[in-house]
Amino acid sequence: MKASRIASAMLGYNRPRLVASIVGVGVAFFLVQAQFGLLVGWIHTCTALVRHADVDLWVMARQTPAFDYGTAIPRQRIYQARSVPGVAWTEGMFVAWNVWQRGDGRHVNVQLVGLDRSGVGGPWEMAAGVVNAVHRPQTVIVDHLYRKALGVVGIGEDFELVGQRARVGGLSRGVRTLSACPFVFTSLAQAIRYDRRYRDDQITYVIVRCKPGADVGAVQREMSGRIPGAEVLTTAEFVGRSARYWMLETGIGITVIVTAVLGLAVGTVILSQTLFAITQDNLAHYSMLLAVGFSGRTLVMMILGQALVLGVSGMLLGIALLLPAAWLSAQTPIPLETTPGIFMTLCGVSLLTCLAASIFSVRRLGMVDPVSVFHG
Amino acid sequence: MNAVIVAQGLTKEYPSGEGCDRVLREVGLTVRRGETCLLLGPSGSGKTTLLSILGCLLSPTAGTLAIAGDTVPFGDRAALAELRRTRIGFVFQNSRLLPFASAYDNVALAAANAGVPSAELDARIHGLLTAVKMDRHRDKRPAELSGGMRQRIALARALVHQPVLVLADEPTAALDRHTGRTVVDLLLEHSRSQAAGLIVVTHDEHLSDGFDRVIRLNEGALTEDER
Repeated sequence: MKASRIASAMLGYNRPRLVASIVGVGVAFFLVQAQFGLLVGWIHTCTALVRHADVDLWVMARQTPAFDYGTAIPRQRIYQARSVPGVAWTEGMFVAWNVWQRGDGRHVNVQLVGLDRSGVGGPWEMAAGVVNAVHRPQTVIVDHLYRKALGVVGIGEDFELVGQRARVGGLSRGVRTLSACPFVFTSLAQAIRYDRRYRDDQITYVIVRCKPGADVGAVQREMSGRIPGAEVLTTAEFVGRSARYWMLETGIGITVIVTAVLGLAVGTVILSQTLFAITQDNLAHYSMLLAVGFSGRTLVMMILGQALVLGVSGMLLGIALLLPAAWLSAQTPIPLETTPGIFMTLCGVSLLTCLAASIFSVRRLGMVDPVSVFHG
Repeated sequence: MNAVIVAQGLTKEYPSGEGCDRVLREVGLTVRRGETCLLLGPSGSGKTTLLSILGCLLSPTAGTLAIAGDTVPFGDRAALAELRRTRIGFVFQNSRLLPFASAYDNVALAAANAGVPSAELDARIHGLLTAVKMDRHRDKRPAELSGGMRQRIALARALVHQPVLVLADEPTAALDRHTGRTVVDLLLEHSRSQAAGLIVVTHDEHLSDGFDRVIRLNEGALTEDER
């Protein structure tokens, strides 16, 4: 019988305790992954329109903190940007907070997005209708996830947007909002007609695509020099800025990270206590093993092995909980998402935490006196 | 060299207040291969301390010990563990079997730990369990066995790696007289058949039949050594 078998038999001897520990570690691991899943999901959500626009550069008012908080810039920026060498294409885009009135009279804050001729920056997937529907008079597209919030049953219904008629011409799929204010898409011209705070010659963003092979960095620098009072960011920079704003400046991300760390701590405590209890229960056996010539190192490896078995079993349970949770959340405004890198990093951190949790047991083992085998 | 134990001037002191308690006083002892010794003495006479030193579990304050001709390096923990693993077999008062392992596995762990080749392992364990009349119960866990049965498994565990020295601490303390006698007879028989030196520590004067020597310890000193 090898040390590894002794360790696993020791672990499995008290089945109820083993199961309770695995469930505890599993739930803690699920909590950690779910919290980071929320974080990733929220970052994806708050940057989705920027990422899906598939453009190279964004021109905006200085100090725009995030995509959702753009302010008015002159429409002529579209043409100024187009004149920069290396630019293939530019369009305008409108983004501003407005008020939607449901059929039952309730008001809902929405983010109105005005799309230029090509519809770039709009929905990337449609549940019903087509993106170009926004160019019909007083027509909007809303996301099917927010139909209930907006009181929408289907295409063709009429509502009020800032006191004017808005007919639902299509339903997008997967355009979530972090601000709890659903996106409502319409044409750029119609958006400015809805939002009376904007003048006809104002927009929120200029979106830019560079010519194939053009140096985007060089175009960005040139454009920044030619358009005073505006800021020019690459898509990656704008994604980063929007994510930083929502995750750090609003405190959402910090809260999620703190909760994830707490989950990790809870898992560590559960595992540590379980291991310690198992070690404590088996001190007499450890002293016997030391007496018959097992090395202290072998016994430490047994405890570390037990920690890993508990940790990996808990992680497998956590993953089994995570998969359906992620699948279910994909149908809701708050998705649980992850990336292979984040998932593997959290698995690695969790395993290291499991090993760290064994420190009290290892210390207790160090106090075992093999002479105690002769004390009845 | 025919001696499995050569102990000279073994002394053990523990600090106590400003002085020290001397629990073992310059004990000298030689045990030959196959020789069986009963170590008697009242509580507090130093039996357990002597057994712990002979079992390489405790360092003496003074004196030297050689096992099978090799001086025991008390400062080297790894070497001590190696000696215990390969040259010494232990039988404890309460058998100290692992409750979550079968009788077979309890014996196998000592054999595997001592480096018994896996090809020999099964035959050797089978032989020993048969010899102590426990082969029928090889798959049972300790909780399913009586106290006497557990001690027979512990005996097989102590002998499976063919040690040169077997140390038994009150092996009959938890058994009735008849069962205790059976266990001691098995210890004597198998230690002799393996030519291992045997030291059995007990309070029970009645167990002395069959032993080659009876050694008495009192207040840390050897007071009698009958052959």
